[in-house]
Parts: sequence; C-alpha cells; structure tokens
Amino acid sequence: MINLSNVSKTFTLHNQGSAVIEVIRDVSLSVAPGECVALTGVSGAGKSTLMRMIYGNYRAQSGEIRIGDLDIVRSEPRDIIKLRRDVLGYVSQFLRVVPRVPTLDVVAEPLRALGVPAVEAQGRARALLTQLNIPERLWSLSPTTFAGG
Amino acid sequence: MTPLLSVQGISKHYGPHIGCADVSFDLYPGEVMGIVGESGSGKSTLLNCMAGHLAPDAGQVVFDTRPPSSSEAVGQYTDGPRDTIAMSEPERRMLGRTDWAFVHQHARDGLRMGVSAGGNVGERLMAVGARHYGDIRDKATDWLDRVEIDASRVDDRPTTFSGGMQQRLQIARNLVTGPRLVFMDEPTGGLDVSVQARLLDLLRGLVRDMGLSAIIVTHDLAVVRLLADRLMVMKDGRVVEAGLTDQVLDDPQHAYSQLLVSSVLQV
Amino acid sequence: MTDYNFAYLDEQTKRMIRRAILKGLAIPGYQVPFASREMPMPYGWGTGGVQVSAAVLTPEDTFKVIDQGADDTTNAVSIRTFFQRTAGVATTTSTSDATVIQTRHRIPEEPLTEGQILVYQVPIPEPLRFLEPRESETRKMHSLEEYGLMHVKLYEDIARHGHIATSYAYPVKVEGRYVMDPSPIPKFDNPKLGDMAAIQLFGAGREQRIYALPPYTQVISLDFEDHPFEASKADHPCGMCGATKSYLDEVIIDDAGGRMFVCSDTDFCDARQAAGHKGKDAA
Repeated sequence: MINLSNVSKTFTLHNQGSAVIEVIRDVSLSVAPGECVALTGVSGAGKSTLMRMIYGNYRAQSGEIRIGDLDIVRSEPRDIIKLRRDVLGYVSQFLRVVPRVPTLDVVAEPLRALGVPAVEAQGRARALLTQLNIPERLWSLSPTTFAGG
Repeated sequence: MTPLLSVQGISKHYGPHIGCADVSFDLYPGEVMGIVGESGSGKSTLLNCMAGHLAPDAGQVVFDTRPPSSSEAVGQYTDGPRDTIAMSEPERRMLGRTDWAFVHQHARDGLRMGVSAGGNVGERLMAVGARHYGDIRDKATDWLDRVEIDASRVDDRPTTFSGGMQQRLQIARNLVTGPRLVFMDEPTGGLDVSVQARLLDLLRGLVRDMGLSAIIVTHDLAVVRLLADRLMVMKDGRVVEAGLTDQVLDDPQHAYSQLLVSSVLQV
Repeated sequence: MTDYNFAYLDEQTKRMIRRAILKGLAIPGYQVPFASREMPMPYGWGTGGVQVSAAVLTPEDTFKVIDQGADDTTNAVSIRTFFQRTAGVATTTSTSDATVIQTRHRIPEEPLTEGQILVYQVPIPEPLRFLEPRESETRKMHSLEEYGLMHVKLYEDIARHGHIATSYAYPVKVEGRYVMDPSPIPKFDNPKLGDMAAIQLFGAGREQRIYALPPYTQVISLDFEDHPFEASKADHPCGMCGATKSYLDEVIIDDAGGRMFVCSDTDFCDARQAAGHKGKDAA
C-alpha cells in the first residue's frame, strides 16, 4: 500500500549561508493494507519529517514514495490533492482552523469537499464525535477552545 | 482530463521593464491556485493578462468553454478549449459575464455604487437576458443570504454598507451566474482582520459548494494557506517556485520562497 | 435681412449635417456624432433641433415650432421667428399644415403623415448616461448590444417605487437592435413613436449627436415581463375642449390652489374648440 524506496531529504537554507541539513538518508519502508506502523525515535530523528513526506507536505530530494500506484515524489499537485481527499488522512497536534467555524462543521468539512450534502456530512460528523467522546455541548464551539487531547 | 484553464507562456513588458515573463500552468476544475509575491512581483500583471484586462505581449490563455445556456447570443460561440486572448471582444466580454468572475481588491471597482444591492446582483442576470422582475429579485435576495448580507438590505445602496459587506456583495454579484472560474485580486486587502476571517471562510464554503476554480493573487500567506490548493511564488516577473500550498509554505525550496515564509510575523 | 445664408447655416455645414441624418436614418436609433456649430442661442436652448431643421428646410416648406406642446411660449416664438428671418419660409401653428415641425419634449396629438418631418430637441442623447458615465463604455455597450444595464435602471425604479417610475425620456428599443432615448417626451407619447408615417429626426447640439427614425419603424418601450409598459393616461378630460385622449397640463389658476387641466398641445385644443367641443372650464 505504501512503499518508500531509498528516500532522502535535505534542507538547504539559502538565507542562512546556504547551510545544508540532511534529515533523512536512504530510507526504505513498506506498509501493507491494514497494517499499523509506529515510528519511534528520539526528538529530531526525523519521524515527523518522514510522515510529512508521505503526506506530500515535505519534498523528497531523491527516492520514491509510492501510495498505491502513485509516486508522489514525481506526481502532479492535483493527483496529491485527490489522494488526500480520498485516501490519506492526517492528524496533527497543531490544528489549523478559522476561529469562527464550529467543531461540527470542521469535522464535516472533508465529506463536504467530496460533495456529500450538508445534512448527511453533519450526521456522520455527529456519529464520529460521539464515538471519540467529545461532549455534544462542545460541538457548536470552535475547536480552538479545546484542550490538546 | 482537460484543464479548465491552460496558461501558456504569458509575457508582458512595460518598455524594458518586465511585467511578467513566460508564465505557464494548468488549472483543473475545482482547484484553487494562489499566486503570491511582493509588490512588483508581476502577480497583478499576470492576473490582468489572464482575465483579459491587459493584452499580453506573448502567450495563450486557453479556457475550456461550454456553450452558453442563456437565451442570449447562442450560435456564435463554439465549445471546447479556446484561446481567450485570440477571442473577439464580444466573446470575451460575454465570458466575463457568465463563466468567469473577477473580484476586485476594492469593492468599489467591482460594484455600481449608485445601484441598490439587489440591482447589483441582478445585473449579470439581466445582462444575459433575464426579464422577469420577480424572479430576478428572488435570486438576488437568495444570493444576499448566501453571502451573509441581511435580505432587508436588498434595496440599499452599497454606499451604506461596511467594507466587508461591500466585498461580500461584490462576490454575490460575480457568482450569481454560476461561473466556473473566479479571478480574485487581493480579496481581503484593506479589511479588518476579523472581517477577513469571515470573508475567507465564506469564500471557502462557496468555492466548495459551487465547485469553483479560482486564481487568487495576494501578498498575504494566511489567505493562500486557507483558500489555495496550489501556490505559485513570483519574484521580478517570474515564477520561482510552484507546488502544493502546504508544501511550498512548509518546505520552501527556493531562496526567495524561504525568505517570504520566514518573514511572516508569528502572533 | 439677407446677409445670412438660407436658414443661417452655410452649405458645407448643411451637407455635413445631412450626411449625419442619412446615416441616422440608415441605422435607426444609432447616435451619429456630428460637428455641432455655434448657434445664436446658448446650449440647452435647442441648438441641436435648430441645426437639424436648418439642414432639412427648403424654401417651399411650412415650419411649426412647439415647446411642451405650445406654439406660443417664448422659445417656440423665438425659433419660429429665427427661421422666418433667415429662411423666409412660411410658418404656422397648425400641425396638419406644417411640413417640418420642431418640437421640445412633445409629440403632437394630431397623427402625422408621410411627407412631414418631426425634429426633436434632445438634451442628453445617451439613454445609459446616468448609469454609466464613461462614453467609452456606453459606445461599447451599444456596439455590442449589451443592454443589461438599462434593465437595471428599470429594476431600480420598481424596487424603489413599486412600478417603473420613469415618466419621461422612457427608453425604447428600435427595430430590435438599438436602445434609444426618445428625448424627454412624456411616456404617454411613446406609443406614437412606433410605426409613425412621418420622418423623425433627433438633434443634440451640446452633445453633438444626431439620430433618426425612418417612417414605419418598430419602436418598443422597455419593460419587464411582470411589469409591462403602460402609457399613462390622465384621469380628467381637457377643461377647455373636453378631449379625453390627449396629454394634459395642470394649470394653477388662482392663489387658493385652484387648478385646471388643459391639453398641452395648443393647436389640437384650439382646433377642437373651433369645431365646437367645449370642456367644463371653457369660458
């Protein structure tokens, strides 16, 4: 399902004396459907960097990152956008939202982006929020008011 | 899949000075492209060349046209990809009233200040042949509601509106004929921060609900972070970097992009 | 006084104006620019109408001038005298006897015939002017037949007043192509514009435009499907001659607010009275 082959990444900081920082070197990884893989390591080891590269948020300088049939290192932006809509999800500890949008709508958003009607998307959102134990009285508030968990 | 808009080699010079040079990209249906850069980067020149406000010195802007569904002017417009630069002026103006929209930075440039809100929104409908007052008014009122302007303001002139309301009215006026491509020039420029947030959220919703494609020129990175799927960074008339918005902002490759991103004040 | 050329203008100027008139007749409703001359009256006093009349008058013509329907107002008298002196043509107050009629803001009640010419005085020839101040834009709108803005004006009227409140200078569409301002005639007169047997010429001196309607031209007043055009009609008959179908002026007759409604077309009213018709206020 997900295949990384000889992936490397360096940051080149042009405005800081062209400092070159190598963060990932020659990583290969294979994840089969249904597998749950944990990346562990000390802080600065490159775990988040690798995740972001798989999501297409960071660029790989060399190697291949295949998600299904698509090599995202070489693919068009619109293919990655489609992948993110249909296939990849991303949970970050830093949630970026517009301050006035209520939680229910934030959760329903990805379904709306796929064209699902509002009522149905919100129904799904309610079900998920209940499953994740987020009290109903918070659904109309912005998630910026929430605690980290 | 055919791109909705294919920009090929657009160049515009002002004497020896480069406005924009050799810009090319494809935009697909439902995509939002952000163009960022500082003053003098050429982004507004590029936008105006694409939208048909300025004649470029070279290049093509190929739009995937469809036959007009309105009662007006059928027969002379074929469908399929057509270079809008090479189109006749009547055709381009017709495109500008139906399938294309342009949101100006200053709402005053995109509105008729002496005409009521309802008249402003209804104008494009009347321009493509709508002749039933009741229907036009109903549609206008409906749109005011969609851009969060109270329906009771339908007969008020935009001079009595706040800046944010004027901008939302401009958006309603542009979207009423269901265009497929929207050009925006600094849509949140000059608005208060809280007003900006509201406008951006509104735009996001409309882009998603209407399946719009959009090209947004701005110097504000927060706007593109929120609205754009893809991003182009321009400097001195050239595109120095392009890619997914989050990728260009989080992992900028070009020296200028890095400078731009690092210069944003964190509050 | 024979120091003036026939009808005041020199022959070259008349030729230029006639060319503009022919263009106007060939393209009904289209505003033809022309080189308006300095006339011995200021702008705003009918210089456009006077130039058109001067260009079309021949020594055999009989000339009539009306101002808001009346032959006897100061300006109507001035212009009539002007052509008497500079052209030596016969003049009249009778509509049916005239061959060229110059009018300010009214169409005579008496139907006109083939062989007559009606010359209108026009202040602002551009129907879109008050919505779109840029001349460059309005020219484009006419040439590309982009008239949506015209309906915006009518929409605004209905929104503000509940009905189309334009009561004079009501815009019309000519032969299904050009939108035209028929000059500040009351909308009551609009139905007379279409299919008229006479030639209609419009002259705007200050704005330097001439336009025309050849005989039997289709002229339709703009409206909405659910707010169709209605020529207004007075509720009263004429106080002097009892006519029920003419356009009336309201005349204040005393300091107590007493009023009387009289035909605006003086010739029409006089002719009816001479034929024996009497209204309730007739002496």
